Amino acid sequence: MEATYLETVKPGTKAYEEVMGLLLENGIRMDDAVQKTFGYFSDDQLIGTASTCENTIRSIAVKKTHQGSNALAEMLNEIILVLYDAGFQNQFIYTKCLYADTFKHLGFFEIERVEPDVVLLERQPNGIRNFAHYLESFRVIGDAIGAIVMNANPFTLGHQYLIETAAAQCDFLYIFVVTAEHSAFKHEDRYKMIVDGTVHIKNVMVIHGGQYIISDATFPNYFLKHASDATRVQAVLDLKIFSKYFAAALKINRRFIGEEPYCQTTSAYNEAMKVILPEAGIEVIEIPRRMVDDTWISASRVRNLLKENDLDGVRELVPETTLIFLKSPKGRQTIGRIKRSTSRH
Amino acid sequence: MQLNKPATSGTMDSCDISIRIENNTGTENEVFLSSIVEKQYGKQIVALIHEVLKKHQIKGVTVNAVDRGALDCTIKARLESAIYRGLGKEHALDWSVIDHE
Repeated sequence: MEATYLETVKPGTKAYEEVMGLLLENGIRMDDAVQKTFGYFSDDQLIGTASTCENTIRSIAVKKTHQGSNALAEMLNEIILVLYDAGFQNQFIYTKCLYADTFKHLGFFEIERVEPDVVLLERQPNGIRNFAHYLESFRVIGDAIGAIVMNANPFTLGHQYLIETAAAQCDFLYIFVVTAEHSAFKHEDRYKMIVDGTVHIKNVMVIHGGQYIISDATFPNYFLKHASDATRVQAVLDLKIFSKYFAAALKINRRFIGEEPYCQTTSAYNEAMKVILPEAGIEVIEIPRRMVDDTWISASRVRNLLKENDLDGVRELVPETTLIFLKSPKGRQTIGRIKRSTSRH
Repeated sequence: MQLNKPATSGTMDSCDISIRIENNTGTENEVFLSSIVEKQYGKQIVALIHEVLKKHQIKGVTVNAVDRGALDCTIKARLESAIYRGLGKEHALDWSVIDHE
């Protein structure tokens, strides 16, 4: 009997070149956001590959000679076990629409698709429906219900201004905090800074964004510097999920965004938003950025100032509540991390 | 009774079944099955899964089963190992329940 096994494949190795060849053969790209690549071998020959980014499985291919056999199921099963062992309760598959049925037959459930480029499936049969029910528990009565999705890395006067301005135009405003941990400030700290910085606004609720909004599953390229075609597709996917589940559960009918003069990826997201959301009856309202002394306030500027140890500069750009956090042990720890890091986020 | 933790058993190899079992938010058991013999035996497999859960007094779980043509005895054994793992009792099997037909 043939011996089959799954192995991690590192860039730069011969096996990795074979993986790239296998993807090419099947017309599949190596996803931009991939963190780990696996090869599936039979008698030391590569017969399949798949890669992961956190709890998502992407760039999956099986050698043509093994398609139609049970190889895909066996490989997928191994990867699922690796992810369960890593502590991921739910898992996602990001693939072309054409392969949706293949994965539905292997115990995955469709969340949403963007024809013909991409479909997102999840392992938990009721994952997104349970999340929608959880959201419904926060529903309030009102005509104008707004939403903002925010990373707040860290929370600045600009964010505060955006929330104040948006809240003034709504009966109620939901703030979804990006949960994915690709930013200098941890999710729980970003969440706390937003809550602390908005206590004075009565009609606002801050909610953990979770797995279904700007996450590794819906929009991993959000955390990459350059916008590619894949970035635009992911932006559309993310927005369709927002309309179908978030907006439907909470009756959201307007989404607020900050004007984005800097980041290519965020501005691609904002542009997609102006097309996709109005189709679902959600008005997109762009709020001009707030300026301090003729310069824009931005979280990346705050991070740069922190890097340069310019606390006086930071004080001009963040609310008192964020300053208190920055001076706390956790805040100082994060500043230390920023000083050592070279990443954009 | 619900589980202490989600659990997995089995594989997606031919003639096997892969089981994932997790608590749900309700009090009923929910079974999701995809099988290569769904048309012929789908209802029977789902009924068997419900029956085994009931026998072990499990309530309020969701089962995600991917069947690749497993026999009933395999399905039962895989599901029971998943249940025991989920209860954290894989080293303290209750043979009186397992053997009982």
